[in-house]
Amino acid sequence: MQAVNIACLPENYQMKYYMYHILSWPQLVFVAEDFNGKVVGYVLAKMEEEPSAQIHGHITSVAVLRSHRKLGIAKKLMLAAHCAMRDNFRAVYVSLHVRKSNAAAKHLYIDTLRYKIHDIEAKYYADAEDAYDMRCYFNSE
Amino acid sequence: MASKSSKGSTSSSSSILPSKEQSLFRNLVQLYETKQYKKSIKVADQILRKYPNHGETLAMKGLVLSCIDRKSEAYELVRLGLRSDLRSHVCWHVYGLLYRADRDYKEASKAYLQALRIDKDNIQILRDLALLQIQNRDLDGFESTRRTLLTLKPNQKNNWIGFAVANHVNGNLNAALNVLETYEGTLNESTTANGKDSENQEERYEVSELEMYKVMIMYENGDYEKVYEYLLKNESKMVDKLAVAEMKAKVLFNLEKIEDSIRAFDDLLKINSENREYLSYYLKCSLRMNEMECFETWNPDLMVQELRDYCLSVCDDLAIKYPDSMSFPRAAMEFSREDAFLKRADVFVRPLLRKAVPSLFSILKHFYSDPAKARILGNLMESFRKSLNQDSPQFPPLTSSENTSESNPEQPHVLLWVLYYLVLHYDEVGEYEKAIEIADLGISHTDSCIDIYLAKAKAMKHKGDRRGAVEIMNHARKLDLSDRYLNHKCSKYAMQADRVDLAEEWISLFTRDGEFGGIQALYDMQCMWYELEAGDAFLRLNEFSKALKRYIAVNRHFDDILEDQFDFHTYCLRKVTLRSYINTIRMENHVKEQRYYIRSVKGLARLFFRISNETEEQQMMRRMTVDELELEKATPAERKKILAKRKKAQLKKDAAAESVKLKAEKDESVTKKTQKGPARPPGWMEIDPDGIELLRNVSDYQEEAFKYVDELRKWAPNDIDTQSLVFEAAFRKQKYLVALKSVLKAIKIAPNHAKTVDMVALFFDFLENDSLRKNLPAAVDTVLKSEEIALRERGNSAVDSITYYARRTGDVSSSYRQVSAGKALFRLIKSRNDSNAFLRQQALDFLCEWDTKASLDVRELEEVIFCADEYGLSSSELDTFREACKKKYPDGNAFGGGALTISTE
Repeated sequence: MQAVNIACLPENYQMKYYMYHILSWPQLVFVAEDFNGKVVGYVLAKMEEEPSAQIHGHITSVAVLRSHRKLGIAKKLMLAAHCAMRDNFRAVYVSLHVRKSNAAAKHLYIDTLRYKIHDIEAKYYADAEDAYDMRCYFNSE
Repeated sequence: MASKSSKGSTSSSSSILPSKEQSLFRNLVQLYETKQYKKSIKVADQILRKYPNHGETLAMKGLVLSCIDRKSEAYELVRLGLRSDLRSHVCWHVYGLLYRADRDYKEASKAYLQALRIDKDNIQILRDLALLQIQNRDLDGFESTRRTLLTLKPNQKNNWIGFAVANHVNGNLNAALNVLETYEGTLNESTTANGKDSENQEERYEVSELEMYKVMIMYENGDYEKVYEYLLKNESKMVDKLAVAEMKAKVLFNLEKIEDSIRAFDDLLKINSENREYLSYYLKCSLRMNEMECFETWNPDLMVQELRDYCLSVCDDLAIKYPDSMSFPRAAMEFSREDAFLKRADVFVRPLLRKAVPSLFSILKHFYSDPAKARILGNLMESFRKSLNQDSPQFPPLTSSENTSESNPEQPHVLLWVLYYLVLHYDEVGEYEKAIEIADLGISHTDSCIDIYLAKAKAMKHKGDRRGAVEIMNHARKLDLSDRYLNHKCSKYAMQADRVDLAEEWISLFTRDGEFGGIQALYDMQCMWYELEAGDAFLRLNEFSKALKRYIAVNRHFDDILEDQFDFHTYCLRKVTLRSYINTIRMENHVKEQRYYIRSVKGLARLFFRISNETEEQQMMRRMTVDELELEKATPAERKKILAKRKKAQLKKDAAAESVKLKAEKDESVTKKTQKGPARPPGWMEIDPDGIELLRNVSDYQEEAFKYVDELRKWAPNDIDTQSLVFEAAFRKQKYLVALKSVLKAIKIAPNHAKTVDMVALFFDFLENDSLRKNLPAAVDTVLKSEEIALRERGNSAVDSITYYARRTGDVSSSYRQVSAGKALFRLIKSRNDSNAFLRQQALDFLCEWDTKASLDVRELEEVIFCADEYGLSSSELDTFREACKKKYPDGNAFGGGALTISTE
């Protein structure tokens, strides 16, 4: 999972961060393996712990290797995470951040998974690119 | 941390201070806990001025010093404190904390146990001790500490769960379950509304997790009946619907309620039709229902025809039922052969080609272990190529249909992806020239298709033109500079062509964002494949210290990953995510079996064996820094000059550093935090980046190699490389029984491997060496004699065992065996110091005269060149060998072919 992350995305994490997710929200981590058992995609999600707001989940990171695109893997991973958020944590909605420039990801989130842009976070990324703060409400599905 | 213990302190008369100092001491503990270290020291000194021998204060001062990185002083002070107050649990506790901070959990445990002897019910120390024990996998100790904690504080939920977990990891499943049930019993007495309170999400989740944990224990205990009943009764409390459904389905299967089970797995397949475990169970259920024998592991090649056909029909049915799923038609291909396979392959690949799915080959790659299936796939794709190449591009009629009428015209990109597939196909079956030829066709079809370049580069690499492959990769990288995947592939290829410099330059393009750049950033993100490739490259280049640095980096990551557990021992008890916790503990138990770790340790063992083969003079040079080397090579007159020059440079540097420091201090005092911390401490990769210090700190290379061999024996005993390295170590240590054991093990795990041949021959050679054998203890010799018989099956003498192996006919890998025999014979000649010219010629013949048409991995040949010293090849023999290799791999860089340099234009 760590290897897929670093091969795909500029935002990387140490192993402990993955462990933290798995041990805090074990139901919200999914991987896709190829037929040889190698991990080719993953979704890493969590629940936001602000007591005041509505219960909601957050997609920390999702990626699929370039060599395994066009199979709908990311969509399946995301849907699995959504479902687990509702079952286990009664999430009302899920949020995520996406780079303004990332057209492919925006397409997946907005057109396929019905996310809506909620806000823009200026200079969210380390390289000062803006992020869209997107949300997907489950009851509207 | 020490506060609670010190407040409750009643023991140790010698440690009692007057009330004024007592309050100072409390103040000291508080300051330490709030990390006000400078103030802590002041207060400690204040007490020590009046009572210089007050043990607990000395210890506390030491603890504070260790937090500000004055480790050696810290240990000194704490030991001093202990000496003046051996009866103080505070001193012992602090002593334990020091070791704990240094990750020496064994010593820390000892200190804690001492502290507990004095104050046996100290909760804080007990908790800390339990942590260390589970971290160290002192499972008995862990269980007993957890029992004490529960006895002392039975009103705390964590203590019940902790004791249950301790029983679970110790294999006392019934006891673990009892503890949890008893705990729930106490709840029902005190709080009745537990079930109703599920409005609180957090609690609802925790209740559910605990229930699921119980189910996990019951399942592991084999109480399937109990699990099933329990699930039915308590399902409303369990929110992890997916896990409940999986558990139910498995339990039904184990209870032989096959019809219910198959329905349950069908429901699961509805949720996720690509899950192979579900499918495997579904098949097993179907077989059982038909009263057919069930398979243990999914392996169609080991199944009888009848079984295979039945599985095939089940998969076909599922494929119709779930038309969107890929796993069923693909599984059907696993269970079919010949025409049945062709028909299904034909239907399977067409939509994926139309969709331009780049992973099509990877999806089918598994079938290439069967040459017949590989041939069918290749022919199918060639027929597509022909048909799509016509004026009106279209697929040929489906193999399965009678209908021969024309199908609809296809988009041009379909041909491109057929070509792409064929490149990978020919690469996989070893026809690299053909693969490259088709890649070029693909490139002229669409020169912006990145994937085609990747496939071409792969084929070039496989035929030994590593430098040429880098050029193609780099071209692909430039087609999309924002793609990190391409960047990494390209860097990897560069390292495999021994160009770590290029790799570093490229890969650093993506690490500029953070505080650290380049190699340090990759180290921080534990990017191990990179460090391993770099280590391997440096090892090939004989740059031992640099290779060492990279391998050690990987080992440090594994130590960190083990260390990472530490915080979760407490965290998970609180969060009640116990299933996941137990799985993590189990994963960590085996984490060093991961191939990254094994690769790294193999590299280290080889590295140190290689250095230890060098002459003393060479080794001395290895220990020197660049500066020292320069002096070593210089004449006395030059030396003087160099030294003077360096002194001047150093003075200049010092002055510059001083002024920077002054300026920084000034800046800091004027505006704190206006800019990012001016002097971040350097990372591990930035200190001693070339590993020179690291290598210098190793006193005995051979011993170091032995250390890593032991590590391999522990974590990868069934690896042929491990046994080969164990063998080498054993011979160096003259432990012939160990050597024998490794030979026998090698024969068992990889009878036809080159390394096994090597080991057998060398061992025969030892057996034939009377002067060596007569010095052995009689008992050893007896064992050797009794085991010799097993070896005799492979020949009657050292040379015999090699020639016997090389000449054996009947399998496809004849050229591999021939080359391996050549290597083994050369090694034998070298180890014997044999001057027999006939034998030497025979070895060279083996090495050079093999069938160039038969398949042979280029790496087997390259290895001879890289390790020519170890085989004792003369330069003329090496030339002969290179010429022989060129016949098969004319573009192999190692044989003088292919791209001479890497052009990055």
